[in-house]
Amino acid sequence: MTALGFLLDAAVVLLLVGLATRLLLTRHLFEAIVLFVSYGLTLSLAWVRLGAPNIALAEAALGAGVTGALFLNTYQRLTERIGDGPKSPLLEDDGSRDPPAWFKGVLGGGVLLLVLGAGWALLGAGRRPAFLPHEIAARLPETGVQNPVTGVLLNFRGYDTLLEIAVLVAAMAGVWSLDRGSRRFGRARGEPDEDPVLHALTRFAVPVTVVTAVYLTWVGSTEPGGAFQAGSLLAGAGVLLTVAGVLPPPTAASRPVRAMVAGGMAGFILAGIAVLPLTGQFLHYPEGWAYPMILGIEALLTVSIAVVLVELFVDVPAVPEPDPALESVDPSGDPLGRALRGKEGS
Amino acid sequence: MSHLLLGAALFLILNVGAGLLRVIRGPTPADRMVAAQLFGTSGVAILLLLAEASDEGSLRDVALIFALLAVVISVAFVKRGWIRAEGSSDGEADHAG
Repeated sequence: MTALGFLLDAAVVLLLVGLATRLLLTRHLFEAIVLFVSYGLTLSLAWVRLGAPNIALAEAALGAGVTGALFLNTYQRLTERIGDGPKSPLLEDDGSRDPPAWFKGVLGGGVLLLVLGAGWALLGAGRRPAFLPHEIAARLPETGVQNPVTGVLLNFRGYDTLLEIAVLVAAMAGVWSLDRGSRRFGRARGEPDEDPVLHALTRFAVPVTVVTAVYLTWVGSTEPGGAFQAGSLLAGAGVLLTVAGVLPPPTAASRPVRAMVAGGMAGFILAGIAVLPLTGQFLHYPEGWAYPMILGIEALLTVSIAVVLVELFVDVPAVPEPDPALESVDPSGDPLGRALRGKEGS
Repeated sequence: MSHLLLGAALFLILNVGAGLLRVIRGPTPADRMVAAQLFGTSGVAILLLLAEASDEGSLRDVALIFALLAVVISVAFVKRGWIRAEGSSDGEADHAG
């Protein structure tokens, strides 16, 4: 049992290191995206082996799933030529734009030393007695939930989670302010509007995904789960529906979309203020109310997170016309590398 | 019993490692993406085996997420990563290794 368990852990670690190394070294952008997704899945397995299913869920949903889809989106955007212009320098990176070897050597050597030093310090420091799990377990009944992670995230440290959703809303506002008018999926390439395979897949996958998302929000109070994991699943369903043409792409112009994006944060803040007269402290839930309030906030957060993620995926700005004022700028956006190479004017 | 389950999980992880070869060598984006899907499918199986071996039910939820988001990734790939590669002359298919 232990020997097999050790072999299993060793295989996961080797796979992780192998994937990470190749991911960092490859110059092939698409390969890097696929490696990134594979790395996220393997990392999720590693969290499972470490006994942290909460993090495994988040890594699988956000790290591998949602981020992978967003990277694929970006990749496709990069392969679009702007007029007759050159391909994105990221796509035909052959090493000629690299900084000189001595610079890479110094940088790589320095980082390696740092990592080894940190590892040395960590292993040499000895085990610190873990006191937090004990404290949390002792006061968990007060949080209104049975899952310690949810208890910490939405009760003890609710403020942190509120700021996290604020970051997402701010990111959404940033994307909307850059929006030059999104285009519809694939239509530019003359694809047919009706895709029978996609429709069949959507009909099968979306209900299952939505039910699972609701389940994950619900179960988050007792078992691993929660708004971020459920939100990314719901976002997956939203992406399928939008790509299949069942739902119109959500846009900033739509009031319901804006309401849903802001709803999680607004509900969270309002709940925090509503308890002020009762407990005298922001986000300090009164006794007996913690469970329903946490569940309500989680539900609102799930919807907000889902809409933001769908929007980030679907709302790809159209390719802008080349700007003559930018012609003198290094297209690789790599001023450091260019300065080190000397100005050969590529 | 749990020997058998862990052994099977180990075998599947080794399979995933073999699939990594396809991700690295390609040559087409589809080869790489199918290998990633193999990661996802094997991941589901590994998680289910571990859930059974360790009696930790929540691992089945992780497996569910693996399975459901694999669908989204493949659709994102077909709609966003693939068309460009085969539809135009500047595809990535020539980018071997």
